[in-house]
Amino acid sequence: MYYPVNFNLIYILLEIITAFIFGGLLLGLHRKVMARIQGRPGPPIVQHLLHTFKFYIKELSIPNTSSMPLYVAIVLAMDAVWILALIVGPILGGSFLIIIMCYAVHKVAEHGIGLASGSPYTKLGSTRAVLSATAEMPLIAVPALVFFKTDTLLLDGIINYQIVNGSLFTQLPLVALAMFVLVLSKTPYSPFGIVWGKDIVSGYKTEHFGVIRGVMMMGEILAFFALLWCFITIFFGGIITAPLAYMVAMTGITVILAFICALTPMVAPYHAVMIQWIFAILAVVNVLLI
Amino acid sequence: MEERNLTIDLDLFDNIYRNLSVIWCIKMNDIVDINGLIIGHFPFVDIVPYITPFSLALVATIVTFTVFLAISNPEYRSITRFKEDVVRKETVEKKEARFRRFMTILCGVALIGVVTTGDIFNFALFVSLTGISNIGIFAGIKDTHVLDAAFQYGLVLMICSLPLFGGVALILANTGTLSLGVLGNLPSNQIINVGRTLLLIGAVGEGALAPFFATKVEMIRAKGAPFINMMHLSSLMVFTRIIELLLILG
Amino acid sequence: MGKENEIKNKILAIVTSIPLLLGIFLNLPLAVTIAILVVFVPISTYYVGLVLMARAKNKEDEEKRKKITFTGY
Repeated sequence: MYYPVNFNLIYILLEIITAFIFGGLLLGLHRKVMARIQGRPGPPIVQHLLHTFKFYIKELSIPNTSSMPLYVAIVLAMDAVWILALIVGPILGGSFLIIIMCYAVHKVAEHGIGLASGSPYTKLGSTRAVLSATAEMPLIAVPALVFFKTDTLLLDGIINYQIVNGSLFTQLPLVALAMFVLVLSKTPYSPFGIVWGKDIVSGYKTEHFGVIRGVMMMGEILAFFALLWCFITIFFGGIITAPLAYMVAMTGITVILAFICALTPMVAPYHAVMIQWIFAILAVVNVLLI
Repeated sequence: MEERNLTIDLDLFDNIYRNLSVIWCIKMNDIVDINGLIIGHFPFVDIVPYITPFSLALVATIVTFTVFLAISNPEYRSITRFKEDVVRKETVEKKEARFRRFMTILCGVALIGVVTTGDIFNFALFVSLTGISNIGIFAGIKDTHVLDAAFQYGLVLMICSLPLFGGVALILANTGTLSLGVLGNLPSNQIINVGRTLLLIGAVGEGALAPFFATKVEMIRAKGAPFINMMHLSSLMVFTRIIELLLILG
Repeated sequence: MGKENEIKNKILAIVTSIPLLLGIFLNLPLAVTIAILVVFVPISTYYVGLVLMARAKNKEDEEKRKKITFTGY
């Protein structure tokens, strides 16, 4: 819609690279804001990107116990699905269900990454990935509630609806809150980040370092960007249309996320599931009331 | 007794067929609104499998995952015991791995059926097949905790096949069709809503999703990364598909 | 990682980025473009990473690493 209708490979590739750099900067900003809230100077904003590049040229060692080629392939799958999401979402304005699928595959990849290395810590992380999926999947179904309002799940259609009828954020505030919780659960240091909690070393990421960690971090950056984009498009599509407005909105939401992450402790796994379910139920109540 | 005329009225058949084709070509509003453009469909009279970008993406994902999970070796687990000065590596036995690998591939095939079918009865069948193959993945493990959990999952599976097929039967009885393309154009009523709810309960139980997940977390303690990962993939793919299906029915 | 592996990685890095280059120079249909991006971007990223990793390890580093002896316990 708001993007030039020019589907050549260079254009899409540039979009993905832009998403990667901007998403990396956003995650850097996230760390910076968190540090300032906690009274630390914090790393520079480019730190997250530098971190990714640093890992990208570090030596890769694959554990003897790992399950090959799953150990490598599953990380690449994580990148692949978010590239698909970035093509379907911002460029084609396609079906939101495909992005739901990407999110589901991201959960599967988290689980697989944890299982493939054979380490007990990653195994714990992957077990928690299954546990948290039970809470996050109802949440991701919540935007399907948007369908009852707009009669379409195509992102272009949702944007059109909002241009005509005003943004969905004012009409379905609790559904927006539920989606926001979903974005929050994918933010680093989030209260719902039980999957990579430091109580289990680094959760499913424990055994992945070197090149493969760099590739994984790229996937996570793309995921963060794609989820933010979806949130803004689905709930603020009527107001925010220009790329610059998108950038400002993403920065704003990242700052809010950073405040939440800095001020809340990580909750226990069962509590995480319970709290997320409460938000999912609230969203359903919102739809039923209308 | 009077002899009954058993010849098929070919004209009528042709008419129905043509009408259905017209319905498929022109008004697939719900499916188009949810999935995007319909790239192609196979008009088998009433039961019409269709290809949309959504189902293509799902099929591509499932095929890739199935291939990679099928060729992966199971992981090793290092085990140290108190008072023993050795680290032992344990993995899945070859014979067991072979059976579980077969079940993984079967689950992948069933999943492809789940995501491509354009007919709710076939959907129910394929979903129960994924459930059965999931049980198969865990049946060969020699671990009491896992087997206990798998047994309980099996119970949920059997109980949930009733609402699953019951929902389909209700929808069929009410509308006279199982085809999603036709159902997508029919207005929803109370009975269809009950059928949808039953279908949701059934699919959630078969896929070991939200309220029924308790045994699943216990089950995935087992060894054999690629096989266990398939189970998680199957439940999430069933979940993604059931959202689409329920929205089309509505 | 041995010398053979390094050569293999280099070849794979080149092979997996060929479709991307093809996509840049030829005007391919949308479906093919998406398939190329989704499949080959992650794979080529991985192999290019392996090649870069091998280059980043300089020889001094390697010698230092060899000097470390494990005493065992």
